[in-house]
Amino acid sequence: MINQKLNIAFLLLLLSFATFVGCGKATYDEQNIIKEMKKICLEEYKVSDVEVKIVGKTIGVFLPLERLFESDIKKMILSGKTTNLDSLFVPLPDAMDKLNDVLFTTARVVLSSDIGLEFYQLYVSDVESTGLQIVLTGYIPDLDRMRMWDIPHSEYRKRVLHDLKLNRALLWERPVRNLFRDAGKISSFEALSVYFSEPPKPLTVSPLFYNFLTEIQNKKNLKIDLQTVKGRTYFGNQGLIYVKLVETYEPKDGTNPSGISYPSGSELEYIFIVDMIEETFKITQVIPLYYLDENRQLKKIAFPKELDLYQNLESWPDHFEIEDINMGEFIAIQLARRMQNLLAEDERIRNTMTMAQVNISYLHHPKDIGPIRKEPYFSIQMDFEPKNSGAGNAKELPSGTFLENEDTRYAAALVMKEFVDVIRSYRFSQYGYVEILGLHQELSKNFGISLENLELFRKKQLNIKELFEAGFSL
Amino acid sequence: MSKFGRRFKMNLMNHWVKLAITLSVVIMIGLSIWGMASLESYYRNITLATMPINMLMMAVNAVVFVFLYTMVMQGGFSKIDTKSVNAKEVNIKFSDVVGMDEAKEEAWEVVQLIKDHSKLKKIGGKILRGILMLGPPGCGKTYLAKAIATEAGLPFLSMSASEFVEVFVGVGASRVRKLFKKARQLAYGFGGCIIFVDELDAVGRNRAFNQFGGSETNTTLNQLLVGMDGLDSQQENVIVIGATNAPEDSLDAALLRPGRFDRKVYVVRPNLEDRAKMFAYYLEKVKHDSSIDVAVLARKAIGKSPAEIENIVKESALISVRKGLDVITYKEITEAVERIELGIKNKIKMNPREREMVAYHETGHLMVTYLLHPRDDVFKASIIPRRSSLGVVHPTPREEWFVHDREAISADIKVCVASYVAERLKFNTTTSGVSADFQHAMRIAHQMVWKLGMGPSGYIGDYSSIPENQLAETIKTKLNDDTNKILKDCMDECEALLKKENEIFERFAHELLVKDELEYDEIEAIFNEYGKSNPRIFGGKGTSFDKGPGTDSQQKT
Repeated sequence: MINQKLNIAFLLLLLSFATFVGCGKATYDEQNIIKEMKKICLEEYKVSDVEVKIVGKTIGVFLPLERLFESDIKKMILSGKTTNLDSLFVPLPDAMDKLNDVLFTTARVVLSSDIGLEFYQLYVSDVESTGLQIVLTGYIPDLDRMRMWDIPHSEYRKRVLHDLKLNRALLWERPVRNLFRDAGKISSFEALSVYFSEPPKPLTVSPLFYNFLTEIQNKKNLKIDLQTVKGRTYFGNQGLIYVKLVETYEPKDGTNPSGISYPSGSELEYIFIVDMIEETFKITQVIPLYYLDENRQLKKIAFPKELDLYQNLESWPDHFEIEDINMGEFIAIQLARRMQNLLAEDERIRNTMTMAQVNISYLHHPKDIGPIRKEPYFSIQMDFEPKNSGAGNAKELPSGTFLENEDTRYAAALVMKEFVDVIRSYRFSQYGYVEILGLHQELSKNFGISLENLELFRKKQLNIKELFEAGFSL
Repeated sequence: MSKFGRRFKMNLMNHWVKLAITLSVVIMIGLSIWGMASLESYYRNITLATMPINMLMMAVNAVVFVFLYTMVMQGGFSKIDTKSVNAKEVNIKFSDVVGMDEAKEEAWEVVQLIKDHSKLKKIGGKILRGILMLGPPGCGKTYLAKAIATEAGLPFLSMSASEFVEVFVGVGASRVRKLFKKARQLAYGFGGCIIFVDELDAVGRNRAFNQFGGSETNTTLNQLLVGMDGLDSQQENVIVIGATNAPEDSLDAALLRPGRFDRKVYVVRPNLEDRAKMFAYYLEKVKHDSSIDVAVLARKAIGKSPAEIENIVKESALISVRKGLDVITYKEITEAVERIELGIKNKIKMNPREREMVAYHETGHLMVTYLLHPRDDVFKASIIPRRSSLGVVHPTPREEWFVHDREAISADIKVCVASYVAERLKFNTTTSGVSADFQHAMRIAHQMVWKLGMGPSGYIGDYSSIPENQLAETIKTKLNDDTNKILKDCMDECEALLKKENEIFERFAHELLVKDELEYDEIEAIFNEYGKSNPRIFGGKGTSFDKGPGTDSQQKT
């Protein structure tokens, strides 16, 4: 009897334990996820300046690094010694550590949130010398599956999209950001010599900004909050950087506050023109969007209407822009890369093909043209050129040759198998059919493959020839 | 310290391991909740999701570990399954113990001593250490021990001595230590504790001090002695009650010395009055015919232990149920006694000649028992095979005798040899059925001459106590001649009787062949028909004589 009671008590204890622990809400919600992520990066991994954005079901993380790659890319290219471009883009160990830390933080946060995020994009940016960015795009449930050993690490790596992008606005931003960062910490003279192309004059930097530079020495506890920084190309190596800031300060002891141009807490806007001078970016001109009137009040400058300056400013891209990722498009890009790798690594294809290229897109029909074509579809373009074809392109082969050629059939089977396996692995069903392009000599007769036949192919109940022969005309 | 405080402390001492484990578990669960709550929800969910499988794996690991530990380290063997019972739960009072007044009296005194141990200590008296209950099996030793526990109001630890015995040396001693430790803890909390060790002879036999002696039993007994002595200076009121059916002299002398089992309570078979009380007690528990005379039953159950009496009542209840009766009547009790005494009838099919010979064989026993035996009545005669016998005459003493005289012993021999005489008279031949009778008769005659000084040549003394090689051949011859003479005389007497009462002899044989079985009343009626009255009622006689072992009064073919 006592044992029974003890058992019940123990079970109740366990149940209460599970209830206590299991019924808690998700750790990161919509309100705190961005703040918490920055906090984790800073406090746990000592990674600062991380920016986070959420658009739809995609979370974007921006990690600026002063140096991303091991080699000085510009110097290496100019030296003419580089034969392998890939060797230039090897991240520094320190950069790699930071990248992994931020990636891990992203995984932690998104997996413990309840806002239904599906994709992450990590921008690791070289903001000092090249403006190059490594962009990693991944599907969040894949993180979970990888951690739960549902998919192996090798498969997970294939599922993450790796891209290299160039964002020059990052380079133009640097002197502007650094100028405001150092304001108050270095002397006005130093600031002028380091960040400006030549000693600025009131005319080139505007009287308002000139006053700002010269009055820094009369201010203490100066704090400049950069609320917006945007950039765009101007001419050649020149860029325009728009900055919106709020300046707070206290007058230094013995300084007459009325001697300072504008009061603490003023909101200011400038456009900086930045140019590359002797391989470094320097501010050449400052265009204020405010002026001081005769009563020393800040007033917005009225630009000519035809410039549509303020409207234009809104369209200027942020240095860190993300878009909500579509699942179909994500899979299409991933598939294209996987297929390309597959074809490149396959020995038989290397030996038998002069060209083997595959491209895949996830497309929407502009209008409904039939019951089967209402839904989006995948379009696979296959360009295979067998060595023994004797012609420059498969398109030139006689009708029916494509399916008769064993090597081409083999390559197509490889591609289609990868397609059905990956699609099934994602349990993706938001498509109506698969369009096959570039296989047949009569290209105008591209054909579609139904999902049922794809499933039969996956189950090996149809071979590639039967699959294609069962295709319907488009 | 108050009584409550002492009990609390006792419980604390007794269950500190459990308490510590419970506390640790609660703390660990608390820490787990705290730890889990501080985890991010994803990791928390993973941990919770994998918890059942983790727990299962832990349980499997634990089982494997315990199994290996027990098998390899043998650590689990010293665990004892002592039945710890509270006095209130035992709830058997002295008033529930039927009969055995002398034993009860002794036990009552013991209870008083246990209760007044504090007074005893004050005046410097020694606490009672042990009580040894001796007596045949089924006479209520355990029952009496429980009554002592109830009356003394103390916790009762019951254990069979055989539970101490284990293949591994030291395990028994370890169990004894644990038993006494537990008893001392209970004594601390309740003011005393009774340990009841049943079948004490399993460990308490004389120790063998040689290389072949059971060293494990010796160690266990030594530990028991130490435990009873209380050498560890803990003077708690722990009393050991031992019970055994073994003869007192087979127990180790060290156990019996004062300071160990100070008191010996002899629990013997109940006398006539006690048996009547026991029949009344057990019949109370079942539905029975109110006309049943328990005194008659008590007379039928001479030499029966309380357990056997209880068994008779139980068996009669079973018979009643089988017959579809609502109550137990005298007949069912008689049948139950017969079934227990004589065994269940079996289906051996005898041929007519065989059957006739068995009938005369049994008639010989019957006639001689009835007409020549000074003490035994014939309870039943039967030629239905039971157990290993083809027929039986079941005698019952009219009253309880603790000694047997020469006449009674001679009568036993006559009863035995009567079957031989009857076979020879009727068929002029004899059967192998006399083998057991002769064996019995010979043994009795041998004892009369060799041990009891009852031989006709006048040799007096117990010649069996002298080593046979020291006895003169002439004496041995004489003694053996005497034995033979006794047998012959008995045979002659039987022959004379059966010849003289040939008519009755033939009548009984005939009746047995017709009816298979004759009950006491039928037998009595036939004798009365021939003008023979029961000699035990109308002219019994008897002298004092110690009944020797093996004088089974039942005569079987």
